[in-house]
Amino acid sequence: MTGLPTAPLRLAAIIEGPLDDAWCAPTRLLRADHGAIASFLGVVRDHARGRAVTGLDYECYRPMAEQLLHALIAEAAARFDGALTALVAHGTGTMAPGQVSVAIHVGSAHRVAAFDACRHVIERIKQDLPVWKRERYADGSVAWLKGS
Amino acid sequence: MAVVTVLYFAGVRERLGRGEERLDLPSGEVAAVLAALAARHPGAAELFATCRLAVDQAFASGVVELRDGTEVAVIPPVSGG
Repeated sequence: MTGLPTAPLRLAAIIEGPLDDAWCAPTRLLRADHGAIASFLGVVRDHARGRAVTGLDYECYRPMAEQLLHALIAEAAARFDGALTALVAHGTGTMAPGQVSVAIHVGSAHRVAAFDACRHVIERIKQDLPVWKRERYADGSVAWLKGS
Repeated sequence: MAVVTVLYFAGVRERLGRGEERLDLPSGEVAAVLAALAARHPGAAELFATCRLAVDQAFASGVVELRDGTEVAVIPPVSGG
């Protein structure tokens, strides 16, 4: 410790394409004062509502989405741990089953805050992040989800 | 009235065949702004009824003040994650 004030590491980004190992690995958040890092990866699934899904096309209102991801980290910090660190990324564009579309890592002194903040961020992403997915099916048809 | 940029996404964008347009729109309640957009695009009216509005990249509520150059985004139900 140098004694200098340092802002906790908090990164949020919209990434073109599926998320690679650099975004999926939580180890960038390792710090001596963190007792816990909680992670969530959202993965493109090969089926939905009984249909085979061959891939997803994500569309994004990028400037608003990036601002909102930063705001969600701040919201989680205000609610669960003012000193938490976080890496949050959402991919956009075309993805195949098994690829990672969203990654959330939260570091905190204690596991409860890390789990709660991680869960909070993904649930808020589901509510508000201006991102839309279109499913592609084996028969060649496509559909935007939630009637969008 | 103000000349604003309106952005469309996902199913609304596809139905309209465009992702962006410049329009004269009056300030007003969110629902009134969405209704004004639906009136200009009757073929997609039922989609606008399901959408939220973002103004200059933040969700809008209550009365929306529009000025020349304001960025208005029509936000269909989101499906990220």
